[in-house]
Amino acid sequence: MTRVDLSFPSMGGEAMVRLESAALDRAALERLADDVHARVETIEAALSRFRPGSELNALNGDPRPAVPSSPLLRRTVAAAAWAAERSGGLVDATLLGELERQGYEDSWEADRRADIEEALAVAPRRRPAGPARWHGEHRLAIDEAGRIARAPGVRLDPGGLAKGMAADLAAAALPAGVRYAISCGGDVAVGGGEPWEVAVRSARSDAEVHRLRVRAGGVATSGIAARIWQRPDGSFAHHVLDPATGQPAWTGLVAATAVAASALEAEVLAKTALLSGPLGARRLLRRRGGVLQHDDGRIEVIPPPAVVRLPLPARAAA
Amino acid sequence: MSSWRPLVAGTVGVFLIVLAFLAGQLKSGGDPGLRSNAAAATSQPAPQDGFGAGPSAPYGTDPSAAPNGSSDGLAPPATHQS
Repeated sequence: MTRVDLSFPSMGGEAMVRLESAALDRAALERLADDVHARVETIEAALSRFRPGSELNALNGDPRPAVPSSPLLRRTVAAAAWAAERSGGLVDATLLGELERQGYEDSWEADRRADIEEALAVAPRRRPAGPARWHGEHRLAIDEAGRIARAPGVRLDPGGLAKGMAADLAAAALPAGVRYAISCGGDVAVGGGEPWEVAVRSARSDAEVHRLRVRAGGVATSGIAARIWQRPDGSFAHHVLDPATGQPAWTGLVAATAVAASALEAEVLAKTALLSGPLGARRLLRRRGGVLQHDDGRIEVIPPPAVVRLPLPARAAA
Repeated sequence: MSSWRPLVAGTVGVFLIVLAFLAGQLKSGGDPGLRSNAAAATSQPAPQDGFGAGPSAPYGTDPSAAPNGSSDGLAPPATHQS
């Protein structure tokens, strides 16, 4: 078995690629890892709001109501629409204006990060987030001509959706027979053979708090502590907004980790769980399992349902 | 008069056999659902010894690596907030 690891800065964090194969040699695996790197770079270049020349910024700055776009950007819009529907409006990729008003206008600098415990101590009463008043209005869609159509003033901010998409698209391009784990900013796509163990890191200390065992699909974590800052008036804000209010969401959870069929779905599920608060999150995560990190420091593991399947008669006979 | 008794006894017997089989499956530590159910997860507690960060060099290769991502001491892939 040959293994190759590759890591590189990506999407405001670090991307990690691990490839294993019994049939390919090291040089071949390194080429595949470089292909993954190039693919993730291409996606980031197109979808980053912090790159002036990105296609995303061109779309957001275009005054036309319907804009011809690349397949990748159309796919992103489709993912955003799906995420909004899947989450009941909690995952809303049109909150860029609200996010900028909270003070998150430029690429994140680590020295801005405020102390999560100080923020939690003075945070408002905890409550689940809700959908925006425009939920269900399809403010962002693909029209019949394949253009991206938007309501006036609507701007797209894919955020974590881009990370999940990047991991999934890079994984889909790998040949059969390669066991892979691809992490883009904490959204992980795994598959290709034996189950992977995926470590869940603490939102507070980055220490490992749990491991999930996943054969194929995605694992993602959404949390409030990585990008949290202090406003000039002394109050605290973070980048996970309650669509109903446009304000940072304080739900009783600092992070939620979800397992799903893809990294994109895991990203949507994790953010939905985080925004739903502990009660809603437990209900959302119990289908495939996950981890909740509470305000008070508790780590709660949501186990997947116990599944016992009887062997098929043919298999049993064999 | 007593023809239902063999039926009840048979039903209970089949039930106990199936129950014993399922209990045996669980006790063996296996989760047959994982063999065919993509994206189903099992959980295990974090190890006490902890794990370091990923490799410092861009590439790292271990030709003798075991298929499981953590059984050889390498840091497993990790999910974290972003």
